Amino acid sequence: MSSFPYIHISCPCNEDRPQTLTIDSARPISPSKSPSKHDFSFPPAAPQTPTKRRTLLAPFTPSVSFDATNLDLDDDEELTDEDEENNFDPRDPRSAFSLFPIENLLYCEDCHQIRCPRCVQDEIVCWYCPSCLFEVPSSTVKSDGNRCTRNCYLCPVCTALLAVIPVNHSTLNPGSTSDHPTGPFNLFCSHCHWTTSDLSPPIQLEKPTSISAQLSKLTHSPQDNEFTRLKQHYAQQLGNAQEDFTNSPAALTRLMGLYTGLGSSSGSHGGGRKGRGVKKLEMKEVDRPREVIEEREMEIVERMAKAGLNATTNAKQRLSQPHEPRFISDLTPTAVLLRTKRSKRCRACRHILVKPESKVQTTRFRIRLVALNYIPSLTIKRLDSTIAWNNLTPHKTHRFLLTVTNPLFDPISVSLLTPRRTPGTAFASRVTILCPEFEVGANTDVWDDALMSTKPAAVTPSGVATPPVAGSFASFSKDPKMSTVYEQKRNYTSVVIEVVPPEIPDTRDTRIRDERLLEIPIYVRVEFEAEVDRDDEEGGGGRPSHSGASGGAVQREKVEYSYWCVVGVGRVGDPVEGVVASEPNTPVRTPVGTPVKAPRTPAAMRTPLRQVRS
Amino acid sequence: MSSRDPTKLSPNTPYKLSTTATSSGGGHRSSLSANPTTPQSRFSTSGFSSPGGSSLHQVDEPLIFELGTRFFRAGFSNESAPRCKIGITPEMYGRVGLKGRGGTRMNRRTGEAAGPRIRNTGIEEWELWTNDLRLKDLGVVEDLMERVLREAYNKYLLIESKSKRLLIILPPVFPLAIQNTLSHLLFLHFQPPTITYLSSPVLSCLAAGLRSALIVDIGWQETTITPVYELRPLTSYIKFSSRGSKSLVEVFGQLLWNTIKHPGDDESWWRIFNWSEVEDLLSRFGWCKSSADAREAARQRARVAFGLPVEPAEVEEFNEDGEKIRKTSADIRAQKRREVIGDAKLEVEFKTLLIEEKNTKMQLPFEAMSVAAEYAFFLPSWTKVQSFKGEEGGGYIPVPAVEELMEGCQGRAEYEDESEYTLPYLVFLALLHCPVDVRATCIPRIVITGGAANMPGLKSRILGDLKELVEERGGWELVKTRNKKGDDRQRELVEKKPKKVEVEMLQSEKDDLRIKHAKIGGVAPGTIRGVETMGPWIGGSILSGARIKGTVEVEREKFMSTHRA
Repeated sequence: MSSFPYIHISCPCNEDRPQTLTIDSARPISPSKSPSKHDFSFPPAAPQTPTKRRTLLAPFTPSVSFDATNLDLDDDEELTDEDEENNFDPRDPRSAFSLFPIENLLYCEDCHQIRCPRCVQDEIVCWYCPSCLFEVPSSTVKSDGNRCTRNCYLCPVCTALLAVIPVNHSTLNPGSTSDHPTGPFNLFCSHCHWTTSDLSPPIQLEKPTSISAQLSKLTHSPQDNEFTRLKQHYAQQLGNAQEDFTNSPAALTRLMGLYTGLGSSSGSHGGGRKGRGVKKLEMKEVDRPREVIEEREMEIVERMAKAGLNATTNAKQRLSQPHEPRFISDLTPTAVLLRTKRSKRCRACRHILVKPESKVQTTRFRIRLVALNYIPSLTIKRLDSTIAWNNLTPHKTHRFLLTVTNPLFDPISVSLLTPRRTPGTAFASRVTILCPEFEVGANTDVWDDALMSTKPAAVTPSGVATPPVAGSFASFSKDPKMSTVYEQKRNYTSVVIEVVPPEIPDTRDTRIRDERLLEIPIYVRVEFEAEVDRDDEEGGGGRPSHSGASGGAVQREKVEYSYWCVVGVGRVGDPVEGVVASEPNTPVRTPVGTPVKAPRTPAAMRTPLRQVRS
Repeated sequence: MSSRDPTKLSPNTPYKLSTTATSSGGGHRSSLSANPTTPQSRFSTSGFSSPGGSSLHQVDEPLIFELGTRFFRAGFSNESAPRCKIGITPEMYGRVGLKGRGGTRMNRRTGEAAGPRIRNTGIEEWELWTNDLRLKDLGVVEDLMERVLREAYNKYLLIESKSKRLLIILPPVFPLAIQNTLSHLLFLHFQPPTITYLSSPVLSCLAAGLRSALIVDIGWQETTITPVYELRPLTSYIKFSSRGSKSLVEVFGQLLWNTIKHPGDDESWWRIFNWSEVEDLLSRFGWCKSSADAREAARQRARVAFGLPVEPAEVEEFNEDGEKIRKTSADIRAQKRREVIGDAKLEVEFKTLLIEEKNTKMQLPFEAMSVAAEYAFFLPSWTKVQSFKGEEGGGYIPVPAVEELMEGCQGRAEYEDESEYTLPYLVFLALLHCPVDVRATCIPRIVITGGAANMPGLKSRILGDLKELVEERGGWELVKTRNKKGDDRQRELVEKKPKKVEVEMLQSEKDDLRIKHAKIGGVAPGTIRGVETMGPWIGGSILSGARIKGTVEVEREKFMSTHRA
């Protein structure tokens, strides 16, 4: 439960998915718009369009009484609601498939786009056993069943690694352990104490090595035999029936049998000779198909009744075995599944995003373009430590600190857009980002930062540490002070985000999705000027911008990208006595029971808006 | 986006073979069990495995996918079991990196958080797709399928998806919209050269070693009864019933909840119990009574309904002529088994986070585990689900009303949907509606498959009930002879039918019969016989292993050129 807050980033691949589906095409598709807010002056960047909201699975309609408190909205807010169509809805069941923590994402330098596991193409570099780190050559991977063929086996009951121990290992003299252990061996699970001797019939190995070869001789399931029988039958039939099936190996064996073993008692070519004159022989069904016998089935029931529940396999154990045995005594050790090292390509431009070293033992990568190094990472903190993530008070203004950290070596300008009222729910919370457009400094050397802290705002490169002029946002906020950033350091900038959750009825019992979960979608748009060092790429990327540096030696291009991210702020709690619906920014009384600390008057809130700590 | 042309693909990174010859000599696992008649394919596989060409030489052998509602199976051809079986769980619908979705339900007493939220009946998130697409967002199905397929490729198959043809096994009636979505998704994300779709009843038939059969597929959402004649599904004679594994689990959950709930509590069982736990217990321990036992139980219920005392289990039996039958060894064994089953008990424990006790322990008689199947498949659908409280008189199944018994339940207005029919009756109808040639071939070749068919006793129960039904009707007649009224009818319901003496046959006699009736499956004409199958996936494996190509292959280039818009 302490997982709040979290930040998930929506891969842009969910936005340009084709709409070829029959059901979807029946629905009107609204023209793609970007989440423009009336308050912003710049034209909205529209390389991608946010997803259209799917309204089909949102059948919950609120009672009017609950929403009544929110009805006194100003006109401005009503206007923005018409754009709701384009807002990213974190509650949409589809968005669960496109939201990832930033650690799971890659970044394509050529497309300037985030790439999630869905928009990359995997290519296998090598196969190896995760247990013994033995590399398996590609030619034998498939024939080995994608599993380790050495001595790595897993317990079929608890999936722990099995150890090879002699059957009578508790021998009398302890000195013999140093000797070469003798006698039959079995596989032993040190976690659940399962051994292969528990099986019926028990499996005991002669040698402690090359277990796979020994096991394959010892384990024969009836399904395998039946499969072989069926396959032989069909191969025979095909050899008989299809005269012109020259490519078939079955036909080939029949031909070979024709020449070599005329007098042999091989059953297949007797029919073959007979069928030669006929164009097509009728295929026969298998001789003596296995019949359903009541006696056999009831024997299983009797065995179940005798053995009890603990002798049967559960769903997980059953699925991990090839033939889904019913009883624990029928389980066989499973060989460790191989793993692969894979390189990943961008699906759109085919550039390699990840390329690991092909040696199994190394964990290094030749190429690794993870999104963490390219896109600014967001973190959210409480401004007031009395806020309980799991129990936000309705109608109270919660202030959080949203920090944008820049991993790039160029300063970036960030604009954050968020719907005023969280979309996708009937109980929308009001969200205000106090300073939606700001700059984040470059990720320069840490040493610079140390120097900077002594001499504030002087040595920083251009564009950093000059907070946006408050006047330019006069249209956005009534209070010009509110639009300044909260804190700005070397490569991060913090802004205040205010959230006013509404009163939400407890819908836990009405089997509807979690209405109280408060997730804020934020549209992040990043602009920066990057040095172009690729001479070969003429047509790619953006236009060279006006700010070409001195001498034109270093060409700079303007890069911009944008994405939606979802901030999981917390869960809205039960309404608190005394906290009632009010104006968005007026202070409210602290809830009963919480320690009265850090007086939250409006003045107190506004004063600590320092730029750089001096 | 524009450069998805595969020709622009740079060649594979040259893969260096490590100089280890030890593993290549190792024996193949027994599950591979190559066909001894086709050694050529294996040789060619290893012969061409030079570095760099690894993606080309294996093009022939397709991958086989089977798309069930609950499970996805994938593997290589010519193998006796799929390499991976992926069950759908609600976690698969969740976000990456977000564990759970927050406790959103709560204990009804304490208000503590109790497990993740559930939508509707909670079962939707255990299913990959449903037939009912009205409220289903196809985009979610697509996303989930992509996730499942990626797991299969990257975790289990360990193969480059571009190199392999695909063979996909679908139920006989599959929503076209989903099939379209699936094709598009595969071609876009995994880029196989071609896809061949195959119908699962045909492959079930193939995996039973037959060419014609009546395939009864007891699936998750529904039971499909498909006659297959000479490896062609007769689609116009398919019968459907909503009685499937899902209804089985639903009934079982309801029974469990009825057992522990307080009267008047109208909570739904799936909010109390976890679907997976209920299903797991049922799949481990569910069984089905034999036809004779179930008939006996029904007779006892009828006696209760007419106010007669419950008969004790008879020690001696009489045949038609009133002679005492000497018990055979099989009878004695059956009697012993009945005692074992009757005495067995089992302790089960469920997580019930919503009610006061977080864990509910129950002690159930072993017999109780067979009740769910009775409700789900063999009782009229309006039968009210009882509980496991174990009132005297075997109260797991309600005693029917006298009027219903007298009129044979046929007067009900609800008797108009095929889902209302019990499963044996639906099989009977399916066979009855077939053309007579097909029926003659299919009667001795009834193949019962699907998830619930693993339940021990179910297959023979369906066949046993079907046999009895045909006997009662006096043949394959739709019209029931109902000239018994009043006391006669009551006697019919209440009294034990004299046991027929079965003709004991020697093995040599059986063989003679088999040769004689070779054309119709080696049994006397009209004999109802069930045949075991290895399941559709194995059928696909055999089919593709024999290098039989599908007549219709969906090619990637063609599909994408028409579906790009």
